[in-house]
Amino acid sequence: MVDAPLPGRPGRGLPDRVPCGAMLDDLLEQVADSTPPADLAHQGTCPHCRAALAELGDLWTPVRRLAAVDVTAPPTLTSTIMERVHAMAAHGWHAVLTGQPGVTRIAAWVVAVIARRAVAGVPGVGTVVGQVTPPAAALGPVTAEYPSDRPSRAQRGAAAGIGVAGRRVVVRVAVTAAAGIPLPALAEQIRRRVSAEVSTLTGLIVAAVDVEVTDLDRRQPSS
Amino acid sequence: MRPRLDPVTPDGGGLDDGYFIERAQRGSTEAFEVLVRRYRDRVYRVAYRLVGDRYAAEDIAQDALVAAWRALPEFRRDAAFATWLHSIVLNRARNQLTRTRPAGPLPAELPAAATQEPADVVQSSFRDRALRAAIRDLPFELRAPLVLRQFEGCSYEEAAAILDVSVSTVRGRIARARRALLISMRDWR
Repeated sequence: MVDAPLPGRPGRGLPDRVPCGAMLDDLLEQVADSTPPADLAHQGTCPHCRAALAELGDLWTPVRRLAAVDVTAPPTLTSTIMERVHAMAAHGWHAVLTGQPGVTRIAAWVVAVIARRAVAGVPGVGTVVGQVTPPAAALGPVTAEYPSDRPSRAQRGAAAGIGVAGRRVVVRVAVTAAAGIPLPALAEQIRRRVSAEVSTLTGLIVAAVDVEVTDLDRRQPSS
Repeated sequence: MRPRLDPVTPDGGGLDDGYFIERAQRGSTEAFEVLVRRYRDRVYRVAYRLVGDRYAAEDIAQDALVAAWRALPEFRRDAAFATWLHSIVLNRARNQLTRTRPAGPLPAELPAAATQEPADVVQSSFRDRALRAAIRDLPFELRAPLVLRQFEGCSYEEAAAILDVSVSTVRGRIARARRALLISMRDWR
């Protein structure tokens, strides 16, 4: 065992350098990372470096052994996690953290209704397409759910998909537009209106409003 | 033509993470389960190395992966999923350690080498416990980069990205952590 290169024993401190001037941290990094020396020619002949490396290698062995221990997750971890994820996905809740005490939860479909009403008030929007029911997978990790006993059929026609995560919400609306309306401007107006209404009425943060114009309504005159 | 997700094998077959991340971001719990299966050991291992307790590590791993599901819509795929996930685990572990500071004795973990003499086994056992106690006693800002680099094999750059600090900061912290462990190991010679 080589003791000399770590002066200070049995004191607590470690030297910054070994007698040849090499940095102890560099040598320790070399040992811990199993990397080649920066100065191979010097280390090959320097007794101080060689002794220090031998000492550090010996001291570092328990760390290597500990790092090599196989640590695996408990077998039930996946099922426990997925139970919670499925419950979150099924309920479609949107949690709003309040001050003290308690938590306010707003169902995703409530946000959908607010979004639909906001869109319906935008000039140039013909109808908010009622038949479009995007597949759940297109909406986000927690999607608006419409249980059979609530809400109404009209609400089901909101065609607003809601993805929620924490306090953030992503709204997707599908509309028909009056012919002749500049669509980019219309979409921008929908975004502003939906963002303002949802933020004001729910306190949620609207991360994005995706607008899908599915058709032109030729019966409605442009304004 | 895109491959079908269903029926999906438990580990997602040979498909890369990006495919399942995209599906999970759209609400597919099946796709997310594949990601859980792929990353559960890594997440648990990091948590365990950080807190030194299996039960606490399980709680952290569980909370971290559920939090990942919640936050997945905000994940930008220009970042590595593992990096993003690690940062969630570290935050959870930090919170856990802030609430409860483990101080009890550490259980034995390393099996004794078959060639060791009984006296050596005892010393080795004490030394291993001392090592884990030394890791546990490191300040979190030193322990986290050490665990990422020394036990998870992250590069310095990856550790810096996970911790959201510069590479030089990570190098400095790991050097300090290694010195602390070195002193602890030296005392058990």
